[in-house]
Amino acid sequence: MVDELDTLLAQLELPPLLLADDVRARLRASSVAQTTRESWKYTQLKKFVPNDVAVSEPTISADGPPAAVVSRLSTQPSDGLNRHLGDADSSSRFPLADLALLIAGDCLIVDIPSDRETDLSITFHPGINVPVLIRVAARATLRLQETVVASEFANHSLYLLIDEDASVEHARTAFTSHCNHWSLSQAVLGVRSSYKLQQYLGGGNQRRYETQIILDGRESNASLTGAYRVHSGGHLDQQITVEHRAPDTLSEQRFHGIGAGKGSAIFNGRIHIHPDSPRSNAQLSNRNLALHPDAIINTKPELEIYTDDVKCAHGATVGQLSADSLFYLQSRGIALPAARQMLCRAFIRECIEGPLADIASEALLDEITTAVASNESL
Amino acid sequence: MSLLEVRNLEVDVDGKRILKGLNLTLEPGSVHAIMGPNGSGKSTLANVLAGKPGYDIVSGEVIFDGNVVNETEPEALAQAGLFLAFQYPVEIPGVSNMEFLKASLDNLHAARGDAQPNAVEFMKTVRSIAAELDLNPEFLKRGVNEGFSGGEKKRNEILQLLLLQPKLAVLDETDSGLDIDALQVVADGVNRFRSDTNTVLMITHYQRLLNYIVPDAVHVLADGVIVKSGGRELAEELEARGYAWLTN
Repeated sequence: MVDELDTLLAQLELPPLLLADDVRARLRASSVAQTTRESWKYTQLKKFVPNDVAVSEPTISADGPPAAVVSRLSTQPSDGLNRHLGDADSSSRFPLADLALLIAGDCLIVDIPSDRETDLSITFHPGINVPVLIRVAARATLRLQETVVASEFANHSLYLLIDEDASVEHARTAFTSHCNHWSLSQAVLGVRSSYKLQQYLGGGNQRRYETQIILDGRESNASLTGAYRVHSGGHLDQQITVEHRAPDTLSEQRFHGIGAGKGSAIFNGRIHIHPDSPRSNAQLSNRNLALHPDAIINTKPELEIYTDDVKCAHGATVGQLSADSLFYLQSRGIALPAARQMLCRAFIRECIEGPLADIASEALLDEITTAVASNESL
Repeated sequence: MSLLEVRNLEVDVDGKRILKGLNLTLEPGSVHAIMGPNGSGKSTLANVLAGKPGYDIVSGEVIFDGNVVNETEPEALAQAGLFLAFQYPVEIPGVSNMEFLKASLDNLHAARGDAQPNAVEFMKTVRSIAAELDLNPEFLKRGVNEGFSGGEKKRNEILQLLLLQPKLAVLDETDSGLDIDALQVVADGVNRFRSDTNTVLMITHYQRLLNYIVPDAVHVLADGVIVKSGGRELAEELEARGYAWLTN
């Protein structure tokens, strides 16, 4: 990976970079650290190194200024990227996000004003997307809708800084696509703030979603709910980390996934309770259906706890459609393929909530119907 | 013509012979009860009639409405007019009762070549049946049997029976887990279903159900075969004497 990055960087005609050395140093440190980690066991990092450096500008629409203010990092006085993008140590950094910063040479900044509600939508496009940083001011409420148009290659990063007593509801979809697609979402939560993620993901040629939630403020909380389906031959790797860094923090994770014929689904959910974070409460549940003998599902919940007096639970399962449920539906005249569709849809819908539910459910149904029509194993 | 004829039926489950040459004939419009001790094969008979996978017919025939249905898929049996009211109805979170009932009725209509039921009429019909069975209409929005009490699950089975109007209803221990009031409601539902053409096969441990749904014939199943048949008085005799005098 490091060699490949060096080669790539040598080929680039880099734009005049703000703090380029800073980014370069981080990139090198993080890529060395990342490539040796187990989190890349099932997915090849090099799949996400672009052949060219086409930069895309994400489309951001808000309910109009002064509801949200969009600016650029390159136009702001800065004493270093870390001030804006958190100061996690290099071992937990994301080299592909740093790569995007380096190539894009900029970052879009969205400021959500305090004490009011804002609706915001972001669409990421093919190519290296200019990273987006959203700063949610104290007591603000943000409803964020994220979609992606991923064709052959896409890389996008989203950073959320959530100030005290603010709340964010983040809904996102990425439907099945034959792309190499890498994504990062990082949310840093202040005192008593909350973050709620609802997502539906399909597989890609190679698709990896990194999600890092940092509960930095006392009594902050995060709720992550998601569903995914990996088509035959598809690949979806989800790496989710929740860092409990303060007392009385709460996190809940619930993910349901379906692996179809020869699809590969990877789910890694890590909960990290830092020292001096008493009364942290963390729950993680990941359930999977393997619908084909060749479907590959790797799921691993992880707990690291360095504080006494915490409450943590995690569980992961891989199973098949219930034969009793199928028989029940069939006994009422519903043919087996339709019965399988109903159960798959139900399983996924258990984890699709909020504004995504209908659109994601319909997309899933279309995919399943197509799979049945083409005799692909579900 | 008989609606159901079971001839010398032998069935294996997990390699073990459960039914060992069972014979049974049901005429249209009749109500039959099958009673028997634990492990005699009552639920196996219900499941094999409904086409459940894993029940291997090794010899004999099941003839339903003039067709041999030994190898017929469960959905095709349902579409042909066979209905199994489950002893333990499954919970299916995420599939709403309304979605399930509509899909079921649509499939049965399509199989018969009938027009799809009008959505408004369908809703009215379902709500009306639910009211008759003392089921809160809110249950239609919930997942199939999700969080239902035992009594609610059984009433939901009877709701499906009344909605789908099969030719043959096989009731597998529909009375189990019901209190007296719920039993009365369920029995009223089954009695409403009874007609000159609809046929009912009740499988039960106890004579109690037969006080509410009076059968035309009672059969005793023991060790995989029908060992005695008679009228309703046979059930009363079983209640008084148990099964031992028939099975020893």
